[in-house]
Amino acid sequence: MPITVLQARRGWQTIDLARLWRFRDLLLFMALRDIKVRYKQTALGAVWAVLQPFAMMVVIAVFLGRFTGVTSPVFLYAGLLPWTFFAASVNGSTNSLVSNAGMLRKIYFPRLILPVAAVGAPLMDYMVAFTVLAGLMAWYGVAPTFDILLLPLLVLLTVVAALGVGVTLSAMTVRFRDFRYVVPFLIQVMFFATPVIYPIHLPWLVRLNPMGGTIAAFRAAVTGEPIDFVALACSGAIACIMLAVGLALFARAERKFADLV
Amino acid sequence: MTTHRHQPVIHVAGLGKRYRLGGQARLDQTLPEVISDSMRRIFARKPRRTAPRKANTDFWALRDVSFSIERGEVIGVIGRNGAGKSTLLKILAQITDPTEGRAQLRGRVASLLEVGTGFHPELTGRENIYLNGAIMSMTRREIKAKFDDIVAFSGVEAFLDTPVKRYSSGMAVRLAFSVAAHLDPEILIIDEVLAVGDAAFQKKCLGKMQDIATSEGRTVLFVSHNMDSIMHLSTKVMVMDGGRTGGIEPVESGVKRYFAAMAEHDSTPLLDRPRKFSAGRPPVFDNLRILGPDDQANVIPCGGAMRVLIDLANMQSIQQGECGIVITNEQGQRVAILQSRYHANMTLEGTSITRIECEVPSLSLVPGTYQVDLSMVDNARMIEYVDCAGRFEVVFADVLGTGRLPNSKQGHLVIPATWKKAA
Repeated sequence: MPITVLQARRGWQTIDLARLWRFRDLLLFMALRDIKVRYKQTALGAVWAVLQPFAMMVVIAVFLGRFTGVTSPVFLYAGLLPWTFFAASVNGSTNSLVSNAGMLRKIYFPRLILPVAAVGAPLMDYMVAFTVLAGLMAWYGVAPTFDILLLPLLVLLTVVAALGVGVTLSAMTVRFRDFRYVVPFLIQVMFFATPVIYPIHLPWLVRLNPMGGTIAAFRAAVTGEPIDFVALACSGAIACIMLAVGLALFARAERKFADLV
Repeated sequence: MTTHRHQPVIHVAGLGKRYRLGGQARLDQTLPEVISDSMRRIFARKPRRTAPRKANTDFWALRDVSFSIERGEVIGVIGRNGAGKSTLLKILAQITDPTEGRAQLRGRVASLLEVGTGFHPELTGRENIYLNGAIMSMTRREIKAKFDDIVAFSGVEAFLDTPVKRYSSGMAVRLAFSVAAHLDPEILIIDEVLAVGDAAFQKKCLGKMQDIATSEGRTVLFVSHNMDSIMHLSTKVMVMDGGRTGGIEPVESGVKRYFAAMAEHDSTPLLDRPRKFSAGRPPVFDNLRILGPDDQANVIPCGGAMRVLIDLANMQSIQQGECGIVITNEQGQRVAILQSRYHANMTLEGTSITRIECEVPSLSLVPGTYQVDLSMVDNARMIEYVDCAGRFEVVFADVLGTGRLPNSKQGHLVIPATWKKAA
């Protein structure tokens, strides 16, 4: 019979992995909930998942192509697709605690479930929007190379990077709603600091950026260019470090959520 | 093994919970202040300056609470509003940490503190059962195994594939309770949630709670304002008052003490009673009298006239005061509000007013006990709220001329009506 001891906790906490594992089905159901609800009462439904990166691609090709010199739809879409996934995940994670405030106040469950489950719906969108990438590649006659097999790893690294930012910001948003307004701004800045719509040209900046190497590698895998593995490794390592820091901060802040939210 | 059996299921020692005024910790600090404070703390040579903690900004919702509960007991937790019942339940349900003391729980804990938390209005009943079960720590397989039982108990079979937003609140309660009741917890914690359901389902739930405790040897801790269900269901009770408790005691003595505490509360002058809310200014409500016809205090025959007399104090700074008399029934549901502005376009200003009076020519409430709260709003801002400033009884009177009246389970109001047989 499990014995639970409740008392005041102070300072840094460890994450109870066993408890998290027991609630794994909740993670699934919360993600499914978001997916089911996402496009309820919309006329276009899941088409929105495609429309967002696609419209961005057109706009950027037409208006910014002149400055960046890049107008290839495959090149742009292959950058915008993982970027959209990243941005939507960060946004969803950050707001997940505040938008489920009622649950935080009235039910116990591992709070970490919320920001992690918030990645589910963007992941679904990502997979839907991926079909369009396949279509574009076929249309423009771009054949994938064996590097495309790296895709699961790249998706995983994107999730790690998104959670690294999102888990931290979600915990901070509980206390200060300011961070909700920081997110769109932060994403905007990162968008231009990351080689989403232009090729790598400041290698050190790309390596320091948790999404830099990952996005470049995704595009290289699709267009068949050589992958910059140094940049990928650096970005991946930075994303992992950010996630570790985020989890530590989250575990420390967690016990106050119900009183503050 | 035998020593194991004699260990209490719930053991609580010296439990306390402190809130900063306003119910939240240090929200008086803005983000830049927090950052500069922590920077100063990191870089300062001097030891960390302990901020002078003003004692009057602290509020202990719970203090020095100790008790033990044995296996298979059904404990009714009773006390006035603000006595700390919900805070205690929140700590035991692991939603919030105590500030001091500790609690030890043996076994799986399930809690139902609010109906339908975690229900998503857009999802169907079926989807919500899975989601809600998972929130309460059930695995997919467990939910699947109990699914039919949950549905059968809730009685919403016909609406399983309807979004929950189309459910009545009664149906949502039934579904939520059914999920919680089928959780097989060793410890079940229930706040006053059943008040929402209809009488028949309430009975069913109470029966289920009793089953859980007696035949399955599980422990139930529940809050209720309804002394009827407390006396029916509990094996022992715990009376809470002002965040403290004398511990677990027999039902009869506990209920008696609860009523005595209520009576004592009622005999304290209104001016001296604690406020549920006050905007940091001296109290304005000085005295309250509720009179029936023939000036009988606190008893009004159904359909009879009621006069409410309120003495005011410390009104100097009030510019556009609006006084509200809130009437709540025994189930804790608000029945009506008599508001000076709504009813008479009357606002209060300055020192000259010391007494106001509200008269209801015919009080058409069903017989029962009602609670009166008083509120004062100035310039659209709440400045004072007194919980349970008074109480009155509506007694039977033959207003319908048939010798019968609806009771409090059938409705709230007695509305005169004519009936005839159409030819």
